[in-house]
Amino acid sequence: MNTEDLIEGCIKEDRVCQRELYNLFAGKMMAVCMRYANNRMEAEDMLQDGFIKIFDNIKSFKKEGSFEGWVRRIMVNTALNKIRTRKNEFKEIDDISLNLSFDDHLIEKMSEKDILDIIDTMPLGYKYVFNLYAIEGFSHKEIAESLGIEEASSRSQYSKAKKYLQHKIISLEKVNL
Amino acid sequence: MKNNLFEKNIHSKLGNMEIVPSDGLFDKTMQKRTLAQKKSLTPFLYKTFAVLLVSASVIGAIWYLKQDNPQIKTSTIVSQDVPEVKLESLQDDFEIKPDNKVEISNVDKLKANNETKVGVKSKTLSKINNNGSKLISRDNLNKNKSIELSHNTGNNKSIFEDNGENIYERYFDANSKYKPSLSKEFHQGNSHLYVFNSIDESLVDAVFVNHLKIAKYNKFTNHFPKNEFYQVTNQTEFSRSSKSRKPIFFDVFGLLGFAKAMPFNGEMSNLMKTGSEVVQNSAYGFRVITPLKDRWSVFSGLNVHIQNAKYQFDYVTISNEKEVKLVTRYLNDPILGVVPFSVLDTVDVTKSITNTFQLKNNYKLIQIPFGFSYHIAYKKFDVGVNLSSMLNVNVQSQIMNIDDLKVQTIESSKHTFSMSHALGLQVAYGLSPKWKVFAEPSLQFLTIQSKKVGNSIDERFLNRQLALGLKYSLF
Repeated sequence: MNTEDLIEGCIKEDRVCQRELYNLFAGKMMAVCMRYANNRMEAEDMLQDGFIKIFDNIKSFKKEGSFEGWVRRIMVNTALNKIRTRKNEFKEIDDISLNLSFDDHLIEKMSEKDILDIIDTMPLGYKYVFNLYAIEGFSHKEIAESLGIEEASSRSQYSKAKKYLQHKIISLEKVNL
Repeated sequence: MKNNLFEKNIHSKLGNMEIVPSDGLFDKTMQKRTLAQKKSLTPFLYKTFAVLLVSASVIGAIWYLKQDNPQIKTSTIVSQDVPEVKLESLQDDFEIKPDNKVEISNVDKLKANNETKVGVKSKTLSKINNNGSKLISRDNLNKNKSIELSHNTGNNKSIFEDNGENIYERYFDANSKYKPSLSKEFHQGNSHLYVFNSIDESLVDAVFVNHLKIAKYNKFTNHFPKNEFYQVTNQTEFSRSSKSRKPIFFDVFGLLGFAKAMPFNGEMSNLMKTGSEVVQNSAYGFRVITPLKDRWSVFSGLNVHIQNAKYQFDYVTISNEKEVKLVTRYLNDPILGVVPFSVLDTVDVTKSITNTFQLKNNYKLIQIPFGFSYHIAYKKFDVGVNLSSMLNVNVQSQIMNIDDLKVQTIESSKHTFSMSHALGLQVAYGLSPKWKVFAEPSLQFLTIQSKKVGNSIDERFLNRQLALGLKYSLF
């Protein structure tokens, strides 16, 4: 069954198609939710709410863009709504890596878990900005609207978060050597 | 962005990453969805039920009030034995004697000690009043129903046109073809008695109006002394065929106001307002008012209230630090005396750092007022003082919060409850017997529990507002 058939089935509230659609995207969307949640339980809660919205609004998918992109956007917005009441911390990150030269290929050598672990050590505000920009592909304008911050703040916070991550990756690499 | 190798690498590593959720999560999701669908239907059902209930109540109330209450329905038959009155004996006022022929049905419904035996009798209906105009007798009216009746009392004509006719049409639904003329009117305080020349025995002849009561009277003589105004109205109460009704007023209004923010309480007490504050409020809604007794009325209703506040604040942080400074010290030299000299030294310095913030908070409230009105005047202008307390349900908030010297915008639809109090002066002017236009300047002290939606402070306002609206009288 291709994606279009699944969508048609979900519009008709066909439980088999809904389960298929869920199985198709649950893994990727769980990873999205994990990036915003404090723990697995909260991530699963976000995932449930996200899929409820997807099933409720699947009629409104216009089939113009990628369906996965549409699903991902709903999931991210659901996660952001959940964390909206949480205080976004923008504590200063040490600026020790300002003049850092970073080898981009270092990332390729690292495991996903290691990268995620480093991202998890960032203050929440930076973590969200980094996730939204580098992973979800939001623009700074969209991030500013989603998190209720200035566009310029989003840029500067992303820049600091990026340098922080690069610095940590270099440190980790040195330890491994 | 995506041209940058760093972001590309991150995206390719994490963008397609998968984490397997717990088993059975799909079934839980579908259960949760079913529950959510049921929940989303519940408010709709409640609203539908509420609308149906209100509609049924209004229709029921109108139907009930249109019915004659059999428990208080009495009938009085006035004697048809009308004695001839000689011209020289004509007086404007006739005595009311209790020994006229009066039949009262449902006597057992009346109190034992009341004056039900007192009836009023029209001794004559055809005579010339003091103003020289002819009052047409009931008998003549019956014979000449097609005659266009008019009231020829000179100055009183305007009263007839403005008051009598309107009042008759309003309370008696008179057939315009047989429009009766206003015979007399009496005013005492806020009470008015309008007496009409009847054209048919089946029609009522008088209406007693004040802001507490509107009563119609059947077969009521139009000849009685003015000084017996109250006696006549009281006695005739027992011979009415329609029950008296309390009017119910509906106010619909729009309101605009400017407010003053009151001092804050709480953890942000070191916030100092420095710039101009702009606080505005607006509202629209309705009220239902019903009289109690004397000049008092009670009211309740529903308002949608918007409160917008924009402030500029200085947030002052005080810190104690140590600084190296050039300090002047003095040496007591036995030869040179006191000699000043400068040294670099570490000194304690208190620094105050001021950060300026612009905050903008918006709230949407549903208000349910409960209040009293006291009528000061009830003539051409109806003037009353309204005092009310309101239950506020904050249904939507958009606030800016200062946290760790950063401004955050928080939007919330969390419902919080608070109380507010208002004092207003309502001046109403009658456009027609049923419609009035009114203006009501008022003061409202409003508290919003904004801490519960994430603000650092509970905001309090003193709203100075002006409402403009329409008042409709149901009876």
